Amino acid sequence: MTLTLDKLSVDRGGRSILSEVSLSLRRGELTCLVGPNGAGKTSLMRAALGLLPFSGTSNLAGLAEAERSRMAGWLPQEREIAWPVSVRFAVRLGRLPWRGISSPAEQEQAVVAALQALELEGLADRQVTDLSGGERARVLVARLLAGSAQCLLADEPTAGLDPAHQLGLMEQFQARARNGAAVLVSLHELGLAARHADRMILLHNGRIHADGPPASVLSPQNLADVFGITAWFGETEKGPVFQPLARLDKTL
Amino acid sequence: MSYRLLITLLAFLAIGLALITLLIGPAGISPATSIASLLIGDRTDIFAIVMREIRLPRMLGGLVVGISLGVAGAAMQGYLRNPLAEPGLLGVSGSAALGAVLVLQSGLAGMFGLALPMAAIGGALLAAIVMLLVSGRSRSSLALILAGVALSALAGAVTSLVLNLSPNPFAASEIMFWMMGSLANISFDQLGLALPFMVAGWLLLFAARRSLDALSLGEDAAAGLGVNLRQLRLLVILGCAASIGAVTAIAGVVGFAGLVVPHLLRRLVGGEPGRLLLASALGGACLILATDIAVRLVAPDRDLKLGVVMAMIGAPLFLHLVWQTGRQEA
Amino acid sequence: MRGKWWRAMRAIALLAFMMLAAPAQAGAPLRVVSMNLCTDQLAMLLAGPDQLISVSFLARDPLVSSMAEEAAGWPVNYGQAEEIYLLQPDLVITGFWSAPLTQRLLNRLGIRVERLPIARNLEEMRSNIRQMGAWLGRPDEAAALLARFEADLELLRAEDPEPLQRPRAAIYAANGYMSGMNSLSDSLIRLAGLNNIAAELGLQHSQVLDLERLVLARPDLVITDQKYAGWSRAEALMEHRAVQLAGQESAVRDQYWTCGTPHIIQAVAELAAAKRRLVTARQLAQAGK
Repeated sequence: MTLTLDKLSVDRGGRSILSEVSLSLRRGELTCLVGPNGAGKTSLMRAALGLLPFSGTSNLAGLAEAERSRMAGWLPQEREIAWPVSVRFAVRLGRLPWRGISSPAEQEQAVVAALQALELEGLADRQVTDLSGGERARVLVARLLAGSAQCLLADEPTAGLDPAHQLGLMEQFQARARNGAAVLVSLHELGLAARHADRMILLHNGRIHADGPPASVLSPQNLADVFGITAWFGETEKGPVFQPLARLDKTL
Repeated sequence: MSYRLLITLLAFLAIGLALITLLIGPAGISPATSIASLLIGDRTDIFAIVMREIRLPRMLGGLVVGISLGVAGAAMQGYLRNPLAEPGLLGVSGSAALGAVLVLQSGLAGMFGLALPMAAIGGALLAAIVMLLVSGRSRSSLALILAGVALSALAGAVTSLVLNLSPNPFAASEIMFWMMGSLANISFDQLGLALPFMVAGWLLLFAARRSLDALSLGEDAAAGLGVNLRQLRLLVILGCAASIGAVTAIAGVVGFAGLVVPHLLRRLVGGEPGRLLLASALGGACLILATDIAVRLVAPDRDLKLGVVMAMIGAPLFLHLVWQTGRQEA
Repeated sequence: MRGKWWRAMRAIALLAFMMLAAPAQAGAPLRVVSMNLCTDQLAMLLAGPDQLISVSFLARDPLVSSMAEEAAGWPVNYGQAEEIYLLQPDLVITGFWSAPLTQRLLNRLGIRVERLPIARNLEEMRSNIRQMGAWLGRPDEAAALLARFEADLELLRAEDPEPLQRPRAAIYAANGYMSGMNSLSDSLIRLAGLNNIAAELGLQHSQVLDLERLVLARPDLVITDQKYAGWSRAEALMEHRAVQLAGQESAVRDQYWTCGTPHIIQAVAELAAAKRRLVTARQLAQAGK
């Protein structure tokens, strides 16, 4: 099951955060959700999961909590872990929706697989509070992947990380998508999104401004209208490269 | 240390302390006679009366008070994701005491015995709700603790007022019992009234253990993992109110225990909030039993309050935690 | 010189005689105010018509006063110097330790204040009754009151089935307070033909007794106190199961125990009844063997 939204709207305090957003994720695709601050990316994902009140329909939000948590995995922006738990414990939390459904062996297998995927075996028994920012981000992604959900939603998982970690995480998401999952990742780093996304959705003022392959979404017109910048976008042998160049509006 | 080993050790320690507490008392009965009288003594045998009506309720009182304070402290910390949270500091115990005093002085408790634990639970519930509202608005420890201090002070002041306005000449001087807690001369009648509520509270809190684990990652992530946040909130509030309310109704406010026990045991359970619940329950029992023993050894014929020793242990620890937290938040 | 000295001595002697004789010649006080519960009751019992003009407010409290109903016949005072002064008494009677500041103030205002000590036993009670009679100028009434009391007491003692048996009684009041050997309660117990375990435990003065020690002392009779309104943990202790199991019989200290007045006969009667029950029970137990 993937995410399908139909005319999803979110209001808060009289203001419209999202306006009649309709989209449908496809399996096997890594979709990047981009847009300026306040565009409504986080609200879209939370409403899609039923964590926010909304009008319209979201197929995932319509499910019972238990089933939804098995169908869809959610990685929020918040990276703080309250207690000095072990990495293994944190990753194992991702298996919570499968308690009583999977056998203990299957649970353990999924945890080990996630640890391996994110190269965390060596850190498995360390306390998360002792880890660096990049390591902790990996732990949280491992937690997401451990849940073996077919639909993954991640909110700015690469924010504030070193380039190596950023690339590594995006490769993980890509790999999951290749494996048949529908993956939605919201990003600020347009270059990162351009390089890894199969599909890009540009959100602006609570509406979908553009939806399609990166090359078409990151058109000069869209960049000017939504971000107020010019940029260089080119296909190289090493894949697409995107680099913002200059601001259009010099009032800042 | 493995979890299983920790729980076993704590359980044995609790049993050991419970036995010791049964053997201490001004009656000066030998250990062998004590146990024999307790188990097989005739109903009219004076040693049996001392053991069954005076020492046994006191031991059980220590156990249940300790379990309640430990598990509620761990649950509050797990839910608020704040190591400084505990029922005494956040005014939950103080409000429970106020509820109890109101019902006792107004005569309601005399007419309807269950009114006592219920009123105390009501007071605890109100305080827990206030704390939740405060915590919802501001994540900072400072706001939480200050609100707790304010609530505690208010509850304490009104309690003192009610006691001073009582027609009973003894009531006014009993503020110390309510504010510092004591297990002296506790009887089975009192325990019987409070026990069902305590046990209900424990069960509610234990039911929340996996959700508390998931909550380590934050509310959003927990919700994503299928945790019903509303239900969790209900379990924690009701569970804490029931156990703390019932316990305060019969033993007064024993502060700091809910802070000290989870803090000491957290590393030993690998930081896992769910596991910390059971460990803290047993640890709390050990701490309160040990404190009660200390209190009776230091001042055998006087009723030295539990809170006196608890504050001496807990307050320095609290200061230490505040120091640490301050550095982290900076 | 010798003549002058003799004249001076005679003058002094005359003066001294007059001073000593003066009180005997003065009339009985006409306006008497009592400021203390125990003096209230004795005054109400002994005073002449319209001689007593005010009693303390405690006299009307049925919890502590054995003459609460009668006290309605007199206005009450709260032991404040101002209100008492305004009553213009010629004699104020109070307890030894009551309201010392008020006593001093009244003295300075020129009012005669007499203090009655607390009666802790029968002798002191007799002496107090006689003293009160003397102050009020009613010695005959005092003597009659005492005589009636002694008669009642004799009757009561005659009913004692086993004068030589002395079951053991323990007083366990709020907070576990036990009355010591030097108290009115102790005297009442002994008058009723019982022993006070305070004597066994060597307790001269009232003090707290741990609950375990009470049980271990194995008293035959446990005497608790009447409770005040409201609730207190101190009083709740008296209802502890261990207290109820500690003795075979139980009794409650009520308003007849508070002061050394002839009303103590009621308290002694209740204790004597408890003793009879204990004696009977013991006889039955022994017969059963």
